[in-house]
Amino acid sequence: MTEKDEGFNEVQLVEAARNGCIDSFAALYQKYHSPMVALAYSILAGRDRAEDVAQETFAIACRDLPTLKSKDKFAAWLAGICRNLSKQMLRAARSERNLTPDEPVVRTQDRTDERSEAIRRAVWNLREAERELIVLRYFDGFSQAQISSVLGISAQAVNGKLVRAKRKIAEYLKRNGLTGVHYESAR
Amino acid sequence: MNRQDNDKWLDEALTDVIGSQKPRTDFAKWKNNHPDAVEMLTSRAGRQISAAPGPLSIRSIIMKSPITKLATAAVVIIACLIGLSLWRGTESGIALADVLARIEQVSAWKFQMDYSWTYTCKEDPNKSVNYVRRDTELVSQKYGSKTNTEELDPNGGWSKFREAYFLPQKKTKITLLHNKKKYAIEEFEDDWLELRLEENGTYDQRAFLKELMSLNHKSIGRATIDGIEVEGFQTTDPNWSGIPYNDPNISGVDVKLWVDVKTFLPVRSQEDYTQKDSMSNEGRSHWVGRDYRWDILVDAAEFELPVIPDDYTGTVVKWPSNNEENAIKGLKQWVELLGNYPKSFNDMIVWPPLTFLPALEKSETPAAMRLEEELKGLSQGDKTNRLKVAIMPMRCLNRFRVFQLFTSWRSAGAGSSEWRKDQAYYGETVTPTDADKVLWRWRWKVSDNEYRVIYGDLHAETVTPEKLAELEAGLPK
Repeated sequence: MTEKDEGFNEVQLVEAARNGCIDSFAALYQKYHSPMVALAYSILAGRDRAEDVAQETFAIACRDLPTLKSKDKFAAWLAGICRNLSKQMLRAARSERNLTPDEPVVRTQDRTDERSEAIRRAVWNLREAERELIVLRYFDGFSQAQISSVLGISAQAVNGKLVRAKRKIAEYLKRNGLTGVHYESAR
Repeated sequence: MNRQDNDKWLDEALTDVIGSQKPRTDFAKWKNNHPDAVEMLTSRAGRQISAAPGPLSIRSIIMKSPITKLATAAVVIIACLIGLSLWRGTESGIALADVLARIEQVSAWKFQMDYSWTYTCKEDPNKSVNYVRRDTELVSQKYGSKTNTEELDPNGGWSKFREAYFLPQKKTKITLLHNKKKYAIEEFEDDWLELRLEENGTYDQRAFLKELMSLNHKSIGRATIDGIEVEGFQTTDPNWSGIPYNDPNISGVDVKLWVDVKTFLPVRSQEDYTQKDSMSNEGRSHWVGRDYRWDILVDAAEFELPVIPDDYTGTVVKWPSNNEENAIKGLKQWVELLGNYPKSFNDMIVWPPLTFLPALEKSETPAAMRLEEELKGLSQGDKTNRLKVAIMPMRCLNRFRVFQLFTSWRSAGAGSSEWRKDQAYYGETVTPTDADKVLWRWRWKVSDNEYRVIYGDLHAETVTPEKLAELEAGLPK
């Protein structure tokens, strides 16, 4: 199936779901559940909470589907809901526990964990848009086309931004004494 | 180490750290956990006629084989040829959400609104009324709206009697009553402005559509109006009132909208409903929106503040913000002047000469007596103007209620009617001494799991749904 076929099909699915077809909504869920978990994870840095947000995202999508103006932008619209929910959850978590969960709190046990934590810190030090891109790419190996539809930017832009974000991560790690050689030797 | 090697180790490192087990994508489980959402989605089935393909997975399986691809293409071509030969016009499958989206794209439009009101007074047939008027409405997404109203003269012909400008950029509404040589200037805070924009369902087709979408409605098929092929939609939902006021006295609702099947823009609208007054006399309202001209060019000068003639007299009213503090002020003033809380939402609509003066005359509270003393000797007009300002906190109560309804309505989204349960008022049974009884509640804006409540003694707090249920269970039935 070509990308164009898939896009055409998705518009039909969205239209059918909007008119109450639960099977079509199920198909959209199958396709975008994992990217929504990844997107929420890029903001919340917690797997369980990201799963919760993804679940809620689809519940809100059910409710608000009639307000979706451009049926060909379903994924980007869904991502918008997911981002808002994640940020709401983040705010709630901050006010409840006075934590700063932008960076995951990881207790280091050995040198391997230290390296993992350094990489994680490098990712969560990126700007939000770059972090979303990196997490979507490496969370479940999404293709550039999939990332492009979720983030609402062209596949070419995905590629360019991905290269720049990775360069920033490599520079951060280098400043903190971690290069490819160190990483390989520690594995 | 070259760039490629650099990327390779980084790819592996990022996959190790970020990549994890594939998320558990289980739609059946999600469906079980979200019955309300599923119900909301499936309840739309059948409301709008549209092509509803099977799920993606089925199509994917079929289209994997090149043979089935060819066979499917052949079947589609044959079906299209047969369809074309038999086609006589079918339902267009217009979705109201698309009509709303289409209107949002239009910068300005003009239309005519005809209104008639037939009021039958049982006690005194001489007080029965048959009133007819027509409005010419100009709406601009950028500048606001302008209405020219003409009344049917009992001696024949039409007379221009009112001109109204609603100017969101200036946060102002100006009404000129030419037949009485009067003017009224109303100034709004941002929250009022938002409310005014959304509540005007009869005159603003965006609000009209949102309301229609939120209620049970159906397609009533195709017709031709003024040579245009249209598809009609209808609701007879008793909750309709053009705006979500929850007015319990509205009945006999019949609302229709006809949409151009080519442009997706409204061609005609019609609203009919009956309202009962406190004496159970009925007034039947009939509105017809027609002669729509979409996407017209407008001149900013048309929305300039109008020049008020020197011989006109009038009032300037600045409406306070729609917040809890002002709502409590309104309730407090109600008790001071009339001795108790308004019994129902309906009683909150305060119009000084009609609903307030008789109640003030009956009241024996010190504040009521002081106010009556102030009003002594004033002409009817001056008395009305003085009262409008004096009882502003009370007048704000109903606005606050509507504002809260809109807040719930917006957050619920089109298609849902759950927002109607967000607000409740217990003025019938709760008195100013009831510190432990909830007088009023509404869903708190920031969370679905919290309700804001005002108690009988007018202190307010945020409570959980469980606590609210407990409080409401304790109220007299």
